[in-house]
Amino acid sequence: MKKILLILLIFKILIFANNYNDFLLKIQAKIYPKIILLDKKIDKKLVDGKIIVGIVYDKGDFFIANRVKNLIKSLYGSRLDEYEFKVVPIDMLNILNDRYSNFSYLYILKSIPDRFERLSLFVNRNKIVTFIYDKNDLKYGFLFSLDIKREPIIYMNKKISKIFDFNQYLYSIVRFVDEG
Amino acid sequence: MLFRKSILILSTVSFLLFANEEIIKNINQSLKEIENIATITKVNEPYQPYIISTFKGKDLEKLGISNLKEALELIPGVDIATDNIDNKTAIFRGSNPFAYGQSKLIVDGVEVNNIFFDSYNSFLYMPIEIIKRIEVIRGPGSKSDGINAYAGSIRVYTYAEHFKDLEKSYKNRVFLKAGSYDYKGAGFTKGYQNGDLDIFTDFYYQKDDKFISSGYDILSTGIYGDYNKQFSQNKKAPLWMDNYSLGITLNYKDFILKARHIYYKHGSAYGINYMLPQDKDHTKFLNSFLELGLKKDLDNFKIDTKVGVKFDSFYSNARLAPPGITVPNPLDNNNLVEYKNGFFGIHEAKQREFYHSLFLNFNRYKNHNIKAGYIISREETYKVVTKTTDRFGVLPGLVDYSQTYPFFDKNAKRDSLILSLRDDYNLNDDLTLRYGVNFEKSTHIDPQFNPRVALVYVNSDNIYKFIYSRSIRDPSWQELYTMNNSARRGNLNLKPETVNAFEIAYIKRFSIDNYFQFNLFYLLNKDQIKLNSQNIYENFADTDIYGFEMEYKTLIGQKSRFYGNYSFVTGRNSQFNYIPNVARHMLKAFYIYELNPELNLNLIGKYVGDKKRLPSDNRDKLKSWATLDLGFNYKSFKNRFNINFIVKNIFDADVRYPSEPYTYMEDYRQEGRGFMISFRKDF
Repeated sequence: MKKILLILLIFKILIFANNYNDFLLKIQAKIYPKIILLDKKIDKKLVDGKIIVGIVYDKGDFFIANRVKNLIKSLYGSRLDEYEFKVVPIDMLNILNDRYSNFSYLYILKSIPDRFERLSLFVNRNKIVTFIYDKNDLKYGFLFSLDIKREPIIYMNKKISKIFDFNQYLYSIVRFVDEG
Repeated sequence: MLFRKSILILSTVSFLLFANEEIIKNINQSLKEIENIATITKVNEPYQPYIISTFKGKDLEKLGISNLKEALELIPGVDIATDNIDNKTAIFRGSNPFAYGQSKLIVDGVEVNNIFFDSYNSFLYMPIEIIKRIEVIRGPGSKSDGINAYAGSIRVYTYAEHFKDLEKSYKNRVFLKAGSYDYKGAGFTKGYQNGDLDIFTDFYYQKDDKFISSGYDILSTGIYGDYNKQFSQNKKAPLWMDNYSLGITLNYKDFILKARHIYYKHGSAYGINYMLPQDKDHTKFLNSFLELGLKKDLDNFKIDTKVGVKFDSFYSNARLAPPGITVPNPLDNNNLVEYKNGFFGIHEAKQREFYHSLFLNFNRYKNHNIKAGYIISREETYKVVTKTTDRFGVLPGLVDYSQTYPFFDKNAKRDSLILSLRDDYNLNDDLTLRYGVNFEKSTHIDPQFNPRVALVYVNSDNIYKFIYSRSIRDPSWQELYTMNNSARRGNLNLKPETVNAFEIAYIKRFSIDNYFQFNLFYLLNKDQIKLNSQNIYENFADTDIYGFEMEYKTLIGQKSRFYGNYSFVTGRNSQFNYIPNVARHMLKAFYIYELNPELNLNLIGKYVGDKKRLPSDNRDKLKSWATLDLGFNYKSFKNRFNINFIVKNIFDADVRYPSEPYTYMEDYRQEGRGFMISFRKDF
């Protein structure tokens, strides 16, 4: 029975896409790269001299990850300020299995709790700045999210913010939350 | 050396500080722009000071919704009504089902209700493929920027709406559709951008060959005498349609030019006089508008001004009574006239409206956003044609009665002025107060003050709204100026219908897309307009309407989405203790199940409760109905096309809209089981 449930769960993850709000995707694609520029340790996070942002997706969300990549590309092209800039969709399993880990920053789409927990351990161990699609998923230990209330709000996870070093100006525009 | 280094370090630090400050400034600016867009597009709808439901066109087309009318059928508290010429309209919360104009349709910011009926039937068939978003605001709380919505307003945005900051380009697409009743449709949207110049255009053409069984017409009731009962017909009413529209939006710097022409030809349905017409008899509704606008952003100050012209016309060419019908001689009621070949008529009324508006938006005062402005307009009839069979039954062919016996007052004219003032005051992060007033004056009515107050309180993801508003509906031109017509006559002494509305809403927001909403409403309507027993329009009654609406939207697991709403409405009338022709219960829902990322299965269910009749109507109440639609949608992400197939009303439920008493005793039947297949290709 457990095996069947496991197979069903895996099947569900492999096959079904999550639902995303198109407007939220667009504004996150617009704002998140700007936050990167406020990272004081940006130079130490370059990979081959480039800022590489991984769009982390579960299998069913490949098209969404690709869309986010295209959105960011259409807004910023291949340069972010003075840096070369690259956006790469990456299957979450590839990160969790340590097949790819060379990313400056990660933008994480939706997934299941177990994977988020494992991914959170990985990114915080490697001090990777993370941006998450769904604000409710900050609780797994990711750093930033952006949501629309009456106005757009940038959320920053207070608990893990200490291990990162951002320009102080950023703290004046984010709303801190105690999550994870 | 040390000094030079210090200078270098200092200048580097100050440069970085400056650069960081610039980035923060840039982020703040982007957040502000996003807030503006979110407010315009109602992404932050739960926080807006009205009761609103928003649907995106792309979600609706995925679901199998074919046009604007079908989309409106999903809105809580909204029912559809029709009449003898199949002039359909949306009925909000049990509002007067015999009055058009209680709701307004605004397409790309331009109000498109026609002058003649104050209705927007010809726009209800706009294909969903050209619609980016539909916002439906229930209640007079929708009053904004001077637009005088009474029971609700429907805002439709085509893909002409384009935010350069967030959208790379316009939506360019073609679409083809086919369905039951030999329906065929096609169209496209296309945008063009070059520097400061943006042009967007949409076009569609659609036609069908719909005939639906009508039951016996008015002659069977004996209203036209027992002798004429023999001429009553029972056959399929011509409800066919031939419809096209071309829309153009041009943006150049701060200027916006909007234009649309819509052509809507329709079978004569149940007949102007409720007598079944011939199959090819028809009505034509033509609407055109051209509007030039200027939007200028200055420091803490915005100007929005428009000047425009609208044309609309009503045209009917039909047999109005069957061969053999015999009626009293117009000159001598003691004698009869027999129309051996039937009674025929061509009726045409052309109207135009010139308008101008100016609104100023101030936000220089902290936490205040003040908007003030005016709208002035002149509406007038400039052509009336009345040609009918010789009323005395002597002359052959059609006789021109345009001067001697017109069906409509050819001197009809109305000037209107609306002054509007409102302020959105953010008392703190959690509390917003919107208050304002409209002053309205037009020919035939006394000056009206229509105030509005709305309070929105936010506590985490719980949102509470308290709204009071007053609004009026000016009588439509049909209600004022129709003349020399046995089925309806206008009345220049009509007062406007008025409503005082009290609304309370609670919203629990689970995420940006998922929420639960509950709202209560209490509407005090006065001077509702209706035809009396002599077929003259009159202010016949006051009605108190109250009820509630619930709306729930959620994800079910990863693969399915559910949306459902339930509405309850009841009330009383000053003449009898209930509100007639209104469904007390309505339930609407849809469910989308993703079989895989490219293929989904959809279900749409609707239930509309039974409707009590007017006391003067001896028919049993109109039965409730429930329909279920089943569809599939395939989307190719790679090749950017989409195919949708839907079977509507799969159980072939008997859907009917109420007919006027003693006309069509079996009411107005609607479509049974049918299908629609749509193909859309984006470029």
